[in-house]
Formats: sequence, structure tokens, C-alpha cells
Amino acid sequence: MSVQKQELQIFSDHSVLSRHLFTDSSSNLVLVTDTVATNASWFVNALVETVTLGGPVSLNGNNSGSNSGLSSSDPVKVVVGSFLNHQSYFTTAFDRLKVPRNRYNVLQIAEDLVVKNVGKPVDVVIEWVLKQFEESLSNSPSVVILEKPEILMALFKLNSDELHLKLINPLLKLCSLLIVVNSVESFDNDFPEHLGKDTVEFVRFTTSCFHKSFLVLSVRPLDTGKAKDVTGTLAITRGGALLDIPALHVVENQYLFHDLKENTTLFYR
Amino acid sequence: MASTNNNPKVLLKRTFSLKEQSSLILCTDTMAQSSRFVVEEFLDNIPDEMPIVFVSFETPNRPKYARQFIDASGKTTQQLVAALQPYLPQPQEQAPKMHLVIFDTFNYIGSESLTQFISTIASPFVTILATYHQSIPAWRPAELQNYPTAIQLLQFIANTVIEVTPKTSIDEDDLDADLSRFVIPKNLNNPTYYITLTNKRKSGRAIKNKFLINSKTHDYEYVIEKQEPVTDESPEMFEGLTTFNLNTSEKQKLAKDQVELPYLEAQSFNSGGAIVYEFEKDDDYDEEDPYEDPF
Repeated sequence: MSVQKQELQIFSDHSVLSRHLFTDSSSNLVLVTDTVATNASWFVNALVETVTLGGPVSLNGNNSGSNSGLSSSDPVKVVVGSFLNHQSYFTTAFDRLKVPRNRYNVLQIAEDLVVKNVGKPVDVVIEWVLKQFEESLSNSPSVVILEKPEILMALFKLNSDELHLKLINPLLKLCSLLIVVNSVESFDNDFPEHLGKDTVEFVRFTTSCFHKSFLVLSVRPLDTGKAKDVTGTLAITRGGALLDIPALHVVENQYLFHDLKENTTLFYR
Repeated sequence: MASTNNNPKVLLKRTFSLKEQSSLILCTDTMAQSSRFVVEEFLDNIPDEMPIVFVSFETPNRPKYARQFIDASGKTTQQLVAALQPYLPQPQEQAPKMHLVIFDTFNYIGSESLTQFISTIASPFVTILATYHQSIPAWRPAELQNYPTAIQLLQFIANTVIEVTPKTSIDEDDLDADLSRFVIPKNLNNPTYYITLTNKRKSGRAIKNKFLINSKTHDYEYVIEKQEPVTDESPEMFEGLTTFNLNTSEKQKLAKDQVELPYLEAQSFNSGGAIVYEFEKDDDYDEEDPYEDPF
């Protein structure tokens, strides 16, 4: 018996990323969370496809009917910066998805991040990261995907507030849509009353992101453990911020997904 | 005057329209329900001509209603005060206008500098409307372990505290457990939510009222908290529980009520606190020993 596949839909205009998000000069934050067991890279790829190819075409076995909401005439640029994965990790994936190279830019941030910056003040490091983004962004509408910025806290002894005020806020000003991909592994602890400083800062960072985001996308494993034909859940919920676009709202939903090597499929929950 | 203030809905309306004198209105929210809708309610009720200064730690977007927008990223508290000062009523001004200063969050200001910061900008012609996100944890360094937390300080300083909670069918404990794991259930952060308004009077009395707010229709509904009814012991309560007779008859109840409990006697101070010593025949009493008899 075949299982009913479901098209990805995030906004009330049946789109994955609505064009209304790019019509004025406002900047909005979206939080994507994942765990070690369920990596959100398939979802990040789907978002990049949505912006560049007009829809998350690789979802549901290359026959997704999801409406991107962005017509091909909207020249929205994608810039990806990761503190975890190297440039080639993304370019290989995007090449496989046949995303044109002129539609996106992957920055070299994770490459020798510590070796290149050892002994430098943290402000210099953040300035260098911001400069890389500035150089690749133009005045046209753009999406910035920032993967695992919390790693900076561990590497350069930053706290959560400094990371928000020095990196996230300036970066948000540079683009129309900032998608921050965070790990929520630090939320899973057995003794929440005895958290160490680092754990508190990691939790603080993600929770602060939640309050700044109008949309939160959580990729998690199943609560019941493993299943042969389901990898985990994708939950679409509102965040703590309001979206100042009257015609648009987030459609809260939950999907099951099955992540295979080449393909990810969404199902009804 | 007193009678109108006693009407909870009137008090809420007066608070939203800033007619209640208050220098700091604190909104506390969590991941389950954001205070953004409450701030919108204030904006819906205040006069259009009131100057609004928006201080932002969380968004680079200037709200339409804000006459001045200050981006607080990268500013120390001193720099922020300096940036705010030109937009606040000046001391030499005669009969200045009431100003509203909105902070999207106070979470980025450390508890050690919070009181000083607020007292620097607060004045009789400035109302501060600020949010504190209660679900954001804060690391407390060893030297500040005995200093109050930011939320404790703010709740103490604020004249009005608005606690925002979601309208949800999920049990409170289950919701807390989910959010502590960053599992976010559906239908949170809705335009329909509860607020608990704590209004501190000049006399020191605090009035607490709960309301159901609908931010789409701007309807406010006073919620009367259901109190568990105190049930008196009735003969029916024990029926069918055991084969023993647990009931008390009217006569037994009357006798039970008439029993004088020992602590009631101890509370009557008729003897005036004197220690009554009665000499007994076996007591060894020596008149010449000054330490023998303390009385």
C-alpha cells in the first residue's frame, strides 16, 4: 500500500518561501533546529532549491508540487555560511540538485577557522566573518543561511548575548531573510537545575533566536525511537516575533520525513 | 474614583491607554506566548500624538508607530542612555508631553546594571514599556550568586506587571516539559491569550486580575479564577466506602466543636507571662545560696 506523500507548505499563500518576504526593506529571522540524529541539511537544501529553482524539487522523489511562492523573475540571492561544514560540502550537494552556480554563494568560513584566527581578538574574527557576507551580498533581496553559529561561542569564548549583538543582528540588517540553523542538543540534559555555564549559554542562544524569529522549523527524531520508514518529524510553528506582513501568516503543521541518501520524502502526520 | 478603579476591565483599559500613572510597565513572556501582541494592544489604545521611542535589541526593522528608533546592538548601557536622552523630555521643558519608551527586551542588560539604567531614563513624563523573556536562561557568576536576578529586580521596580500566558488545552506541566526540550506544540503564540495584570497602588496594595485578550478583535474578558469549593463534611461522603460507620451524628458534631484545644488556652495571656513556681515538699531550698533559687 502506498503512503500519501505531502507537499511542503509553510505560508498561508501555499508557498514554501513567500515572495511577500522580499517585497519591502524589512529583515526577518527564521530558526531551523536539528539534532545529531536528524540533520537538517536536507531541509536547507530544499530551501535553497526553493529560492533558486522555484520549488523544493528534490523533495518527494523529484516530483514535488510545492509552490515556492517565488517566481523565476524574482532575483533572490542565496548566501550560505557555515561554521561546521566546508564549502565543498554544500557545492557538491547543490551541484547534485542541479542548482545553477550563479544563483548562490557558499562562503569559506569553517575552513581553518581556528588556525587562521588563533590569538586574534574575537571582535576581529566576527568582523572578518561579517565582511565575507557583506562582499557577497548586493542590494537585491537575499537569503542568508547561517549554519551552527553557536560553534563560535565554544571556539572564541563568546557568550550568547555577544554573539547575538555582534554577529546575528548586523547580519540580519544585511539581508531580507536570515535562516539560522542551530543544534538543540544542549536542551537534552538530565539535570536541568545543574547546568554548566556553556550549556546555559547554548540554551540561551537558541531561546533568544526563538524570540527573534517569526517562524521556527524543528527537525527532530521520533519521540518513540527509530522506525524503518520514518527518520523524524519536521514541525512548523510560529516563533516569538510577529511577521509585519498583513497578507501572510505561518501555517503551523507537522510532517513525518524519511531521509534516504538521495531523496527525502514528506508524509502526513 | 475608587469604584472605577475597582472594576478590573476599566483598570485594564486605563493601563493600556497609559492613564494609570506608571513609570515602568513590565511584560513577562515565555516561548509559549510572546508579549508582542500585548505591546500592540498598548499602541491601539494610546493617543496618536504620543511620542514613541523604540529601543531594539532584537530586530533591525523600525516599527511604523515609532517616532524614533534606536538600535541597541553593540551599545553599552551608557551609550544607550546617551542615545536615548535627546528624545526624552528635557528638564528645562515646561509641561512636557508624556513619552513612551518601548524596549523589545531587557534580557540583554545585565542584572547588575539594570536598576541604574532604568532610573537614569525614568522620569514623571516617561513611561517605559519593556518585555522580559522568562524562558531565556541566564548564567549567574559566583560573585552575583546572592544578588537578585534580573526578573526579581524588574518585578520589584515595576509599577505594573503583565504576565502573558498562552490559551491552550495542554497541561501546564506537559507544556513546560516540552518547551524545556525545545519541542514546540502547535497553536502557541496565538493572538488569543491570557494576561495576569498586577497593578501596584501607591498605598502598597497590589491588585491582581486575569484577562483573556483577543488581539484580533481587541476584546478583553475578565477571567474569574475558579476556586476549589470547600466542601463540608456530609454523611453522603462516607457512604459505601467501608463497612464501618464513619458518619458522625449531629450530637457528636456538636460535642466535637465544643472541645477546647490545648493551643487555644496557650493563646490567652491572662497570667501575664509570669512564671509560677510552686514549692514542693521534696525541693531542697537553701535561703543562703543566692544561685539556688532564681525566683
